Amino acid sequence: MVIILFELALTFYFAATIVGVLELFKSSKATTRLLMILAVIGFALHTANIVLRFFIGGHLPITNMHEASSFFSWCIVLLFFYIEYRYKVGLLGSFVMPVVFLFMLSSSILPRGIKPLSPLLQSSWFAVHTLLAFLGDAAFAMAAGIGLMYLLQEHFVKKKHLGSLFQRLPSLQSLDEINYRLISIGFPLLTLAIVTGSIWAETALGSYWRWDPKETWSLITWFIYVFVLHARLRAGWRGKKAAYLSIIGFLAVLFTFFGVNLILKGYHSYLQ
Amino acid sequence: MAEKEKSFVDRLWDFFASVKLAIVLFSLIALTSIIGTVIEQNASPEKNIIVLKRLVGENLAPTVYRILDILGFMDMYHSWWFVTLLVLFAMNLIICSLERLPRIWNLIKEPVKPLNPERIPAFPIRKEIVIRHSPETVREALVQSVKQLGFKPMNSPLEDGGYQLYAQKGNWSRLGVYITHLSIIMIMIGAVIGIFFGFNGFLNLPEGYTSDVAYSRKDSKPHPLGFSIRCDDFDVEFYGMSDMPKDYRSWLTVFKDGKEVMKKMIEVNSPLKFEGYTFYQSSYGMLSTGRGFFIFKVKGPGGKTETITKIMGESFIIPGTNIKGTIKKFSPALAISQDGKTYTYAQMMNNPAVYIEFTENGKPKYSGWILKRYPQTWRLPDGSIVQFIDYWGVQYTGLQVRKDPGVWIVYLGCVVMAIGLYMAFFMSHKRIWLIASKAKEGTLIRILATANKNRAGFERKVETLVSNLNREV
Repeated sequence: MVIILFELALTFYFAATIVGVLELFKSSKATTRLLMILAVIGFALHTANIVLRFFIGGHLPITNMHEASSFFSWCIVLLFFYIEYRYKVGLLGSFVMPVVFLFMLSSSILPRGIKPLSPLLQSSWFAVHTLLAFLGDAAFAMAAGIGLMYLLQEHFVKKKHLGSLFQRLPSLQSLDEINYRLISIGFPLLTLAIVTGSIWAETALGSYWRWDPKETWSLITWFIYVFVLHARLRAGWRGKKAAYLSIIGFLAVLFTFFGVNLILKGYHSYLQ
Repeated sequence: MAEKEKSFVDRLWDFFASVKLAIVLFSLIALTSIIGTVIEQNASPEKNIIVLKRLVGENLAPTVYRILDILGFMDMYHSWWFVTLLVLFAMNLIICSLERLPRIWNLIKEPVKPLNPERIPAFPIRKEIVIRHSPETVREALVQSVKQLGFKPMNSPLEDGGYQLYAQKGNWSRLGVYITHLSIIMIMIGAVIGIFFGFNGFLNLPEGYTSDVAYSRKDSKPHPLGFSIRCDDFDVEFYGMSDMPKDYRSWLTVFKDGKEVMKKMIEVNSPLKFEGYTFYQSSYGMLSTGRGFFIFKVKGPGGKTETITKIMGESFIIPGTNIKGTIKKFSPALAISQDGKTYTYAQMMNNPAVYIEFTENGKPKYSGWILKRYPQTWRLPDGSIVQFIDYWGVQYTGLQVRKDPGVWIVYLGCVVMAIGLYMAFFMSHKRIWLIASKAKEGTLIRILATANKNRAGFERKVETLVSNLNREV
C-alpha cells in the first residue's frame, strides 16, 4: 500500500511535469487547471503515503534518503500551492513540477525500508528540527526556481524577444519580489533549524556545535543567505544578481542536503 | 595631533561600520569553512594525505599537506586566522548596529503625524473614493474600517470641516534586525564563556567502578569533579531480535562526601546533571581484561527461584534437584552458521550467550548455549528455567562530561534570536492615512498607506477596505 501510493504520486507528478513542459509552448486556462488537478491528486496520494509511513514507523518519515528526498518534494509542492494561491504566478508549475518529479524519481531508486529510530533520534527535537529545515529548504528551492524564471524573462527582455512565453511569464518586478519573499521565509526557518539542531545536540551529545560537516555546511548556506539579504537591503543587489544568488544559495542547500550525507561523514550520516 | 588621532579612530570605526566589510566577511567565512569539511579535522596525517593525493596528485600531496598544516587547516575552526575572522565578524556586527541604532531609535520614537492635504507625498499605496454623504456621517464607518485592519486611528480636523484619520502599527518591528544581531553576539559570548570557563571531557567507567575525576578531551589529564560517580550497570537494548540498537542505558549513582546523593538511568537524549557537570551517554565498549559475573535467575522444577551470581568455570545447583551447571564458555555475540556451527559475530554484547554443562551426580546430562535475548533457550529438558540475566562487569560506559557555564547565555541568545527573526521577517511597519474632505457630491476620501515589508499584502488589505466602504456606505 505504501509503495502503491508512492508510485501513484510519482505518476501524477510525472503527468503534471509533462503538462508543465507543454505549457511552456502553448498554454490555456484548461492546461493550467489540468496541471493543478494532477498536482493536487499527486499531492493527496503523496500525503497519504507519508502519513501511512508515519503510522507504521511511529516517527516522521525522514530517516533514510528515500524518505528524506520524498518528504522534501512534498514540502516543495506544499509551498508551490501556497505561492500559487497567494501570488498566482503564471507558469510556476512548469518550473516546479519537473524539480519535484526529479526529487521523487531519485527517491524512488533509493532503498525504501522503514527502519526504527536509532537512540540518538529518539527526541522531540527530531520532528521540530527537521520540519524547520525541510520547510526552509523548500522555500529556498522555490526561490531558486523563481530566480531561474527571472533570468529567463530577463533574457527575453534584453533580446527584445517579446514572444508568447514572455507574455505569460510574470513581470520581472513581481518575480524579484516573490524571490525575496521566499528567501525571507526560508532564512528564519533555516536559522531556527540550526538553532534547534544545536539545542538538540547539546542535550544529546553534550555540545551545541562541533563543526560536523552537516553543521558546517548549514552554516555556509546560512552565510550565503545572510549575504543575499544584506546585499539586497544594504547594497541594492536586486533583480539579476539576486536571482543568481538565490540559485547559488540553493546549490549550497542541495549540497548540505545530499552531498554531506553521501560524500562527507558525521553524525548526520545516521540518516543513510 | 588630537585631530589626526580622532580621524584614525573615525576611520577605524567607519571601516567596521561598513556593510562592505560585512559582505566580505560573510564570503570569507563561508568559503574557508568549506575547506574544513573536505579536510578531515583533527585526523591522522595519513588520512588527509590520501584525500589530498586524490585532489592534487601523488607528488604534490605531501608538500600541500605541510603547507596546509602550517596554516592550521588540520584544525582550522580553531586556527588563529579563523578565530580572527570570527572576531572581525563580531566587531563588524556590533559597530554596524551601534552606528545605525540611534537613527532607527529616533525614527521609532517619532509618532505618526497627519499629512498636509495640500501637499501629499507620493505614497506607494494610494486610493480615492467619493461617497454621497457628508464627512461627519461616514466618520464612524471609516474609524471602524481602519480598526478592522488592526490600527488605532487618531483624528485631526481639516479646515473645510473634513478630518483626517491616521495610524501606524508594527513600529517596533524595525528593531527586529538589531535584536537578531544582538542575539548572535549573545550566542558568541556564551560560546566564549564555555571555551574559557567550561570543561570538555570524557570518562570511560566500567560497570561497578567509581571515579571522582573525568579526563580532559584536550590533553587527557584528570580533572577532579568534587564528587564521585559510579556506573552500576550498562545495557544496550535492541529492536526485536535485530541488531539495531534501540537504547543505550547506563545506571549511574553520584556520591558526595561519601554519601549517595543521586541515582539516575541515563540515555542518549537524557543526560545526568550534577553540580554544573552533565554526563551524556556517548559510547560503550568491552573491557579487554575484565572478568565479569554471570547472573542467572534459576527456577527449579518445584517452582523455587534463586538468583545466582557466578564467574567463569564456577558451578551452581538448580534448586530442588541434584543437577549441577558449570559455566564453560561465553560469547558476546553468538550466531549459528548454515552448517550448524556456532561462532561469535561481533565484539560487543549484541547477543550474549553462555555455554553451560549440566551434570547429575557427576554424570553428564545435557549441555548447550543459553542466550540472553532468546527465552526459548532458557528452558531445560527437565522443565527448569535458567534465565541468563546479564554478564556484568565486562562493559564500560563511555560518558561525555561537560561543564559549560555559557550555555544559558547561548540558550537565551536562541530565544532572543527567534523573537528578533519574527519581528524582522514577519512583522512590518505599516502606516495609513484617510483624508476625508468635503466634495461637491459628498465626501472625497483619499487613502494613503505604506508598509516597509510585504507591501503587496498590505495593498490587498487596503483594497478590501475600499471595497467594503463602497458597499457599506
